[in-house]
Amino acid sequence: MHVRRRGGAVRAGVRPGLRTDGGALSDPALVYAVGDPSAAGAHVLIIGVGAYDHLLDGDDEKPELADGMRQLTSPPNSARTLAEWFLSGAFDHPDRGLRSLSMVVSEQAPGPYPANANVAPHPLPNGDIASVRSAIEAWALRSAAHPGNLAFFYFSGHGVTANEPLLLCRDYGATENNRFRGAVNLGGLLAGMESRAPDEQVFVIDACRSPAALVNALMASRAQLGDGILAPDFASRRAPSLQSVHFATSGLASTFAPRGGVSFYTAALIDALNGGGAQSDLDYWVGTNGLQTALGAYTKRSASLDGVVQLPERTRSPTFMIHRPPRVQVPVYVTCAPETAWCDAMTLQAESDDHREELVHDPSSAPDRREWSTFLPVDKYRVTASFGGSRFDTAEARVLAVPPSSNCRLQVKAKP
Amino acid sequence: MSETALEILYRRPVEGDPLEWGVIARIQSLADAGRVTEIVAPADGEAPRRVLVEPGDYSIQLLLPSGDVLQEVREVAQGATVRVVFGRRLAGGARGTGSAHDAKTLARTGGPLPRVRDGATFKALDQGLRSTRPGALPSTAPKLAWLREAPSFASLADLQPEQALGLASHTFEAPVERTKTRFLWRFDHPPAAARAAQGWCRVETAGAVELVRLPLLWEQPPGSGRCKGVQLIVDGENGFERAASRIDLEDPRLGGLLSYLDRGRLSAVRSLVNALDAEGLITEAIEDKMANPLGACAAAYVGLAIFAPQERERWDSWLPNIMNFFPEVPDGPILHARRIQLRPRTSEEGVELALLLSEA
Repeated sequence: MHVRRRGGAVRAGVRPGLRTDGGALSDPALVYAVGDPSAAGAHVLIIGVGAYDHLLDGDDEKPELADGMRQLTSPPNSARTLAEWFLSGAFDHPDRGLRSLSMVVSEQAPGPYPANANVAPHPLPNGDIASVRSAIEAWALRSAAHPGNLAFFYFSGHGVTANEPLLLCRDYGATENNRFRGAVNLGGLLAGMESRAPDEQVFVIDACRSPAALVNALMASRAQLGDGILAPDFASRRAPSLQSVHFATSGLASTFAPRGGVSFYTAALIDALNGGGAQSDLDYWVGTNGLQTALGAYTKRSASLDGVVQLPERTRSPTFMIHRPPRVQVPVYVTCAPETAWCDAMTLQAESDDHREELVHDPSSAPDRREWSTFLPVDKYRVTASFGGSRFDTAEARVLAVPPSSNCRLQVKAKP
Repeated sequence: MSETALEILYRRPVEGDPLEWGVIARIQSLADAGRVTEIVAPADGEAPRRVLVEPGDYSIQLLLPSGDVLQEVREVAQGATVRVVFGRRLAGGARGTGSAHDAKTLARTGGPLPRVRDGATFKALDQGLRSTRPGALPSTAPKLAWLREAPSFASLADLQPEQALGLASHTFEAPVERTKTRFLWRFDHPPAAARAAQGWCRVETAGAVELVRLPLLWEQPPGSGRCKGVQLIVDGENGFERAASRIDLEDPRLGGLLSYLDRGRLSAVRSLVNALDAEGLITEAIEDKMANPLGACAAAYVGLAIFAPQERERWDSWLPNIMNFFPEVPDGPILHARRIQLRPRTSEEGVELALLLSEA
């Protein structure tokens, strides 16, 4: 992962130029704020819900309401990793840099406060519907301060589909006769945001979209389930905002994550933001189309390597630029034919005029390796596999490393 | 002097009817990585897409609907034509050929049923309802039956939908293909019972009951009364303990576009839309609304997502007609409402918009 530190802007406990309007200071979810909020910038809200009080193994579990759903270990890690990516300075836009970042995290035990935050450390909101609603309202208010802002929303946690996608908060199931009182109705939230500034909004939903058994019966009902948080602003009379809505999986399907790790989709999101989502037609800025293309490629690949199927989807498809990676890097996958070449020790190199990567492959320490996966800056490369004194000749191929990813297949031949 | 050219073709893991406008291909010169040409390559068939290029080294990427990315690097000499065939004829691993998922998605629009209600998805093909009923049938063979009529919201909301819905008296047709785990029906000539049910049928497997709606309004050729290309597949590869139905829809004209639409990758296929639009196929599909209203809806979803709101003023009168002539297609009001939303003209339209969405 490519990261760099944001120079100068971060001073712990100090909020340069931060005004006291817009609910910014009173927002307990806020961990980073910088600059004049009336100027254009990016406002990011990250929600990671792993601890669910009323799901299986929760503090007050209600198996009859849990519908088989359990505690999650990945969402807090995924949320924190994404927050640290933003705070590292990797998000780069000359006209609308990162202005604010707020976080809501539900986890069994409080994790570390995000590095590079510039709001004095404080307990983060715990992820119940009240805290999520407050965080969304404050984020929406900050985002709407300038039509040229970018609003970026991220949710990781349990999700179900019942007419609309529902994002389950920590206290889902607290009210027994209306379990969805502890859920965000994403359709409602999107409708509310669409009628408001800013003009460009990104929503990333890393959650299952599977129907629960009871939800099935409710799918066709006209009941409004969950909390839409923001009512549409019918008085605004503005053109609908552009919303790029990215889902980690296709309709009614599940998402996957290594236990205790970062989810496949969020890992893909960071790789895409680092350059995999860069679009050549946008002069290698990461745009909404490129982001989705990279999310689709990376997530599907990671999932299939783990033996599961996960196919990301996008439901609203406007085109706009998100940010310009300081250095566009894309994954390159190098394989050998025949695969038996991996049984021999070899040195793999990828070399351009400006860059060189190398892998020394020792089959005794990595007997299952069948691919070299690396990140390379956009360029043309000469890729070689040198086998030393073994039975194979040196193999060579050329590859153009371009988003979203590149493949290179080395044809290995036995020595005469 | 002979032309210098690349010819690009994609062969799906499982061969189907050729799709002239199949998959997105990006061509980049190794000498100038910034210059990218996007084209649409055919899927299957024998006629590759030909692109004139300058002599040099080229990277060709195929962006498949599933998300898979295939890539080849080729040298093109002055006056030479280099054919690059991706897919099953290439030797090698899965990433060199596309996944099994592309064998399916490049031929279908439906995806696992049902889908989330959303204006940007192709809703009319995605309607359905599932309920899980553990271990009901001893046999793995699915049982199918046409509903007596299209279900209402009230019947769908019933906790036991199969009890609330009447079934046609005669049995379902036998599958045209069947293995231990896969059953396939085709509907070139839908029976009267299917028409009466507006395509709704009930699929019961060992552990699930699904209500599936077949896109019987997708006539090929338009106006023929035939539904060539509409297939219902019950795929128990991972067992029949859960819902396993899906719809395949082969359309040589719009099939490639529908595959990307199914995956929510609409804006990623601007070049495909541009190519179809240059051939007049987007407008033609909407013009064919009387013969194939579902095809018109698919094209209109694409158009509304891709084209600027000020373009295609003629659609302002065409889209309401889908709604008026085909009230059973919920996409009509949705498309009309979206068109109004994108081109607001009067303050009264807010009320009309709300009514349209309520109708849908």
